[in-house]
Amino acid sequence: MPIEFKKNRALFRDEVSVEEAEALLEWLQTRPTAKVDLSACSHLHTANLQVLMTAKAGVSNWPKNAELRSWLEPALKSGE
Amino acid sequence: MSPVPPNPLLEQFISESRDLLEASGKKLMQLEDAPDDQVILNELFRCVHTLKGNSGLFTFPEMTRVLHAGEDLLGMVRSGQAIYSRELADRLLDAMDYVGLLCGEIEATDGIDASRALESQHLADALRKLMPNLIPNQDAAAVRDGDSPVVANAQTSPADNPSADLKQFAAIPAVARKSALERCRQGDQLHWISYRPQRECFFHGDDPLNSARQTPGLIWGRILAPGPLPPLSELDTYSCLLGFDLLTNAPREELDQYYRYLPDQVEIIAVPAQWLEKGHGDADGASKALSRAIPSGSFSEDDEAAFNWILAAQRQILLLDDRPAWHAGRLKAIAEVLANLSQAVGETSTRSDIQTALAEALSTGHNTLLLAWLDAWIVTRKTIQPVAGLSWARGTDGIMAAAKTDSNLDVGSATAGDPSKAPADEGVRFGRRAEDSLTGTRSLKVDQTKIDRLMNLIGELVVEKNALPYLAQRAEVQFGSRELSREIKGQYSVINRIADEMQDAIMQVRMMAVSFVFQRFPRLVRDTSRKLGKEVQLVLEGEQTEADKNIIESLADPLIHIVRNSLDHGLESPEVRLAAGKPATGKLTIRAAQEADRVVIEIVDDGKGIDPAVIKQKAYEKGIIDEATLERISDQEAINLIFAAGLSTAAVISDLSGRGVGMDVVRSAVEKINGTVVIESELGKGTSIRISLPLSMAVTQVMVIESDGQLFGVPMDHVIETVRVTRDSIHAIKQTKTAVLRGRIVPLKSLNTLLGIAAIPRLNSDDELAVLLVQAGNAELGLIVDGFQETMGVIQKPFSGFLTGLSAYSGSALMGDGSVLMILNIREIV
Amino acid sequence: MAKTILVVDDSVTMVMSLKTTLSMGGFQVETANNGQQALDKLKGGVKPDLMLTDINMPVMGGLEMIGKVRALPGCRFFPILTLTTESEAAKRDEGRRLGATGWLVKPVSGNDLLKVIKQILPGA
Repeated sequence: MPIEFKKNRALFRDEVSVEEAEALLEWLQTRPTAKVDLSACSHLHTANLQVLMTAKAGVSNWPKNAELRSWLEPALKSGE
Repeated sequence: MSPVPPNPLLEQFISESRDLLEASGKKLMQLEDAPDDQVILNELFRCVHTLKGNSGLFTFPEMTRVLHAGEDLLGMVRSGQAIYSRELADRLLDAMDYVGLLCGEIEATDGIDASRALESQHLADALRKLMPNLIPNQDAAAVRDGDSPVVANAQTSPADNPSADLKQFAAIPAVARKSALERCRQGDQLHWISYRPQRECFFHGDDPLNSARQTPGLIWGRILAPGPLPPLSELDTYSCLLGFDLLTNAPREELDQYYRYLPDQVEIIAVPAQWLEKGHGDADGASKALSRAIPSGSFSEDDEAAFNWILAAQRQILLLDDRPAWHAGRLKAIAEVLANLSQAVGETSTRSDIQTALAEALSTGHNTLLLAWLDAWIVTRKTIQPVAGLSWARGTDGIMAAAKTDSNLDVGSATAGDPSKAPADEGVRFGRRAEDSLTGTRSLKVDQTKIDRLMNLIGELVVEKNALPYLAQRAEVQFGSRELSREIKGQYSVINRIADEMQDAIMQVRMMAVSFVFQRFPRLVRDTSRKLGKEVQLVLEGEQTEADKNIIESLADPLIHIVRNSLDHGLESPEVRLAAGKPATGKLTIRAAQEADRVVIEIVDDGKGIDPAVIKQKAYEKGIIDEATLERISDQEAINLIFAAGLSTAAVISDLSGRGVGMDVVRSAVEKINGTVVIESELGKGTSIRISLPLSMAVTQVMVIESDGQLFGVPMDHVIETVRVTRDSIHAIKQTKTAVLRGRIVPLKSLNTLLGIAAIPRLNSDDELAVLLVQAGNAELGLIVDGFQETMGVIQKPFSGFLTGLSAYSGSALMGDGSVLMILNIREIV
Repeated sequence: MAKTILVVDDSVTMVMSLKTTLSMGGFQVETANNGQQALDKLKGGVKPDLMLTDINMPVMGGLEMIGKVRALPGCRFFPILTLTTESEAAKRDEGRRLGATGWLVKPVSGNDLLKVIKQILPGA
């Protein structure tokens, strides 16, 4: 599973496809304080990204992939 | 795909092309009867279209040119811009023939001779002439507007374009800005891309973030939400709300190419250097600060992020494994950026290291050296303290982060438990099962040599198994073990059954429908009858009748000859037919059917028939028959003379039926594959030719006969029956021995005499001679032999070397005991 | 895990050529000879990461198929590329409208094919 949902944290792994976005949205809707761990994520589809941005989800770990991190950090930080 | 294709692909191309050419020819022919049939027209178009597409996989411009013209013309016919006509069909058929010719040439030589270019041009021009407005060549124009869509034109001034507001550039961090300016100084043109994906873009398979990340020459980019994001509860997951701003140094053409699917969603603006240089408060200050080689400690968090950004970008570029023309320039630019970065953090001494790595990278053409330097620098660079959370470039931190993640995962899978995994596995397995059920009927194209090899092996098995009865006999006679003998016989019957089934199976594989040959006829009949000014209706029946591939293939030439003969000599011109009270359109029927273990093909026309008197006279004139024969020969026998060598009945030898080469060629070709040909004709009513062929020629059933202590094989195709004849029932008429067998007088000949063996035929204890009644051509003959043995299936091997001169034998076969059986060529010896 | 690409073309030669190129590029390749076969494969559980399809095919052409594919559950989002000839420029836009991601112009060089797929398919 590209996203592993835990109690209050979602782990993104490898490529997170567009098909995950709906589940992510539902999960975040009920967990306003949830955080996402992107460390093992190499790519996430735009649909997931906009869910994270809209939810202003906190990021517990940034992607290890520096290039991806450099995209996500400004976009998701501004939401915090 | 390289211009020189791998061989299997070329073979596939040739084979598929032939199929498509045949289908095209057929469709063209059908279209002639139903010019308005859109279904046929579409199918024809698709054939030509596919042919052209396939030819483009290779470098065969001669072929592609002609097919392209054909496709364009058919496209116009389809859309009603051009009219289907006989001429159009003729030109297209010419083109298809030419392509077929090229296929043959490619197959033989792996290429097309350069001299073909002119012919190809002529054919293409001929096709294009039939188009309403002579369009010399469309591709150039089509490619232009198809491949390079005009994206937003480069803007020269930001004032012309609100989205190119200079304020945009304020968002670019100082380090990125400096890096970009550096590129400008290197001579690169910078571009600003404003990418605003359509809301429904996800449903087109787009992933804008991915597209943005992969943008060529990326120096900097950001994600933004152009409009306000809705509350989470109202978010439509699949409606794209995000946009991207990107700064790149890739050439305009490369960007246009990259974004060619999204011309309406991106705006690409050329950015002159001064736009970036214009003061924007902090950014400019940071840029200047960087230029002064500020001490690392004074980096702001933003600067640090931008610094890392640039490093990551350089690394990303170095990881590209393509080799564009500007590769060297790219490496130099990276080296320059790295040098500036190292200077910016006060590491001036690294500059020479970078130069060394660059020089090596340039001389070897490999990025790896620069990349290695960069990675090493990233790891060892300790001068800048990491900002909290920035662990990406630091070896140790990275490892720690990974370890942490792993432990998290373990906990995760334990709490989530197996149930979450089980359904996924189930889904996968279910999917696979469903896919398996899709197999249905599948066919496999196999190289014929492989089938031949298999057939030869099975053939050998069939022969080798025949050794077992001998072995059983030896076990009993020589070693006195009846039990062993019985067991061997038991095993033999099992192996025998399996071998028979294998033989049957391989025969099935080799079976081919006669349609393979028949499908050429519509075209042949059409072209020939038009040339002769005759109206002919062709009727094909039993096209699905099957026979061995070799049989079918060797049938083609004789059949074509017969059909040409019918068209040329048999069927009359419309005027003659009308005068004779027949319909103006002649009818030619080609019919195939299976009869027992033979396939029978009949070619029937309702033409003028063969006049026995004319044949007799001709045969006499040419010295084929003498005067005595001329007087007593029957009409049927006279008609059979048409198969005699050197007889041509047409008053004028037309070039169509083969320049005077007569039906004798047909007969010998048919007989070569153990077939027979019979002709019947009624003057004024028509002619019917009947060819009978074995279904398979791989295994020949022979009857083994004995004469003067030697064994010979006689193909069962020739054997009518075996009889015993008492010596006194043999009579001599003139010099020929004869006997009355079942009410008919049959000439008898001794096999010994025919083969030049001195011994006289042996009589059995009842004073009887063994006579094998055989069919030799149209005549029956009794062959006197010493005795009959069993019939068996053998694989006949033709003679090679000096033995080929032995016309009395058609070949040899290996017997189960290892001895060689000579197979008699009945027609030759009598 | 290797990404799966479903190649749809009625020309066996074209399928063979594409399959060779894609296999060399490290992709798992599934094939179908027309739109209907492709739909059957999708319904039968084949889950491609990308589809590559010809336009003009017997039984069911590419454009009709794209519309039907997008209506299948689980098939709304993966990228679809059409294989067009230069004379089919209008079909490209029609394809996009129906849910295709982009197009390639035949003859497609192996490098171009892999490059475009790499652009479109994350992680490819």
